[in-house]
Amino acid sequence: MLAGRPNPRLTCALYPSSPAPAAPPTRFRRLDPDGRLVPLTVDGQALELPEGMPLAAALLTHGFDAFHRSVRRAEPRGPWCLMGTCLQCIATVDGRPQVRTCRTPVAAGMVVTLGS
Amino acid sequence: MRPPAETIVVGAGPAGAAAALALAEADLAVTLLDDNTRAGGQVFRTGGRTRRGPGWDPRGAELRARIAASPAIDHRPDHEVVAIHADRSLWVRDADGRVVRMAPRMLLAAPGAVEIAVPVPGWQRPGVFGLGGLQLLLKGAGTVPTGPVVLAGAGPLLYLLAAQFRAARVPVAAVIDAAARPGFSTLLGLAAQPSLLAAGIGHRWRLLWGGIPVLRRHAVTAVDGDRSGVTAVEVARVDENWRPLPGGRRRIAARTLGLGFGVRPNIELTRLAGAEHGWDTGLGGWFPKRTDALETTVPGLFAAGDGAGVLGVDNALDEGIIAAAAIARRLDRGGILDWRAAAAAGRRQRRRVFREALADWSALRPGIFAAADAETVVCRCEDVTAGEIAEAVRLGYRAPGPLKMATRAGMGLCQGRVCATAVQHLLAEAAGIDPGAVPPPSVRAPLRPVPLDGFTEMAAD
Ligand SMILES: Cc1cc2nc3c(=O)[nH]c(=O)nc-3n(C[C@H](O)[C@H](O)[C@H](O)COP(=O)(O)OP(=O)(O)OC[C@H]3O[C@@H](n4cnc5c(N)ncnc54)[C@H](O)[C@@H]3O)c2cc1C
Ligand code: FES
Repeated sequence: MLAGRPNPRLTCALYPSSPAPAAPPTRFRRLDPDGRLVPLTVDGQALELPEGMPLAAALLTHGFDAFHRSVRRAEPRGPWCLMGTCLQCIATVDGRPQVRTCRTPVAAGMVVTLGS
Repeated sequence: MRPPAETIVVGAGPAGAAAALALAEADLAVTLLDDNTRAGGQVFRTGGRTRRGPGWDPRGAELRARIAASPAIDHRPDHEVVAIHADRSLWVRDADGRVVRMAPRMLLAAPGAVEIAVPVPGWQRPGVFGLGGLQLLLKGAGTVPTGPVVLAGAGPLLYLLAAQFRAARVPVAAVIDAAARPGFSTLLGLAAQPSLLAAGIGHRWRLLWGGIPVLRRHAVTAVDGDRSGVTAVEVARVDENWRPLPGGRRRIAARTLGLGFGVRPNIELTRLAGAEHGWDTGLGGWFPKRTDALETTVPGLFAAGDGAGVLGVDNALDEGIIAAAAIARRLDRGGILDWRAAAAAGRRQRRRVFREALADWSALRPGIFAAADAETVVCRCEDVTAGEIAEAVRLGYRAPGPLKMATRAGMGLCQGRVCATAVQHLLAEAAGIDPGAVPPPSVRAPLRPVPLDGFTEMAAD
């Protein structure tokens, strides 16, 4: 991840004297740190994400865990199936509501609004 | 764009792709519809990856290359079948969001499987995924948890994913398996497919070697968390029916939980078409009834692969060929594929012993649904709890349809795809009947949310 935080493990290896990092900042990380980064907006925040990567995965590696709130209890909910079945990963993308982010590839200029 | 061919295949996974390639070999044009950007289905979903690594399968790239190189195959990615009628005509949402109608002479449904969800208290928290979902993050997006991860459930995917995570240096805190250690007779049955058994034993050894604890006959009974999601899971011993035993709870710290009890056939297409279905836990649950030629009870509608019974990737490839041969015969191009279909049918038969042993070891057992308490959310879309479902059953609702009207369970955005198995088992438990005696859930079109303007275009066509 070029634009994001440094890989904590890498930092430790390079600077053995630095204190061990606290809990990792995000729940997920990328295995393949290459690919072109493109700018987009998530909840008003400017981000650079890997082009073509499933949006849900890209958001998870950037510390977004909840994508919308549930209907009756208004609890935070996040992706579950990653294959388009459960609709727990929905967000508003470029003005379209209820878009399944697990099946939406990251594209330059996207405007994403999470309901969390 | 070409007009739709006489034969349409829905699903470009191993089953659908194998069928399309075989039909092309018999000089038959075929339209291959799939709702993903790339062909390959679930097992070969490595399209977005830039590097090889855990979960990468070379067969996916090969399959995609062969489909792309075949002039007889009109592969249409990002095309989702949103309705199917008894006359086999389809409504297809195309890549631009328009709904178009197609009316093939022969139709093959190869939609694959979907995960079985087992609700436990707190499973709706962010950071809880299906085991398959976590594997798709790894395979399709090269994304892995930073850990600690707990993987829980039953079946081969549990061990496969744990081994893949270990290879990707993901800290796995524990593997929680509801099933007991496979006994001698199970291992003997699994030995009918020596390479698969060897792979499974290999995964198990890698976990031992990596010092990853495996708790057998245990299940997750609660998921704790804070505002951001999971922080810990609670596990308990289960009985042979996978019902959690009282006492002896232990807590394991976790930031990510993969919870999966196998997959079930995705029967929405065959159900909507009006085909007859049966119930078999060994096949994953409800499945469309088929002839030896893989034709359903709707004439001209064939079904192949995990969408007709969860038997894995090799079986899906074989069923694709068998269905293609039958379709070719029906379209007077018979003979060409027959010897290949006969060989595939032979292999399919020999897998039966393996499948029975596998189901005996790891197929879903109803006791696991006792992990849900009255407050547990079962339907995540509408926040319906197990207590509300039990109350509705007490009031006399005995089928998923009426139960849905009474509780809204299954009425949300996912149309009950996630909670169907849980609702069925909770209903059976509360009513004191066999889960197989509960009628399968009804399906309605459109299968996915479709923008209204998409339909307007169809009317104008
Ligand atoms: C999440 C997950 C992970 C799995 N991992 C493994 C594994 O690691 N190893 C293994 O052996 N097996 C695995 N399986 C089992 C897997 O189902 C089979 O091994 C194999 O993929 C079956 O092939 P198939 O062609 O029947 O279905 P699939 O590979 O599932 O292909 C079906 C295709 O049809 C598409 N489709 C479905 N409905 C529609 C529609 N209405 N319109 C258009 N397209 C549609 C799907 O998106 C998919 O691309 C996994 C299953 C799941 C669900
Ligand atoms: S995570 Fe289930 S539909 Fe996207």
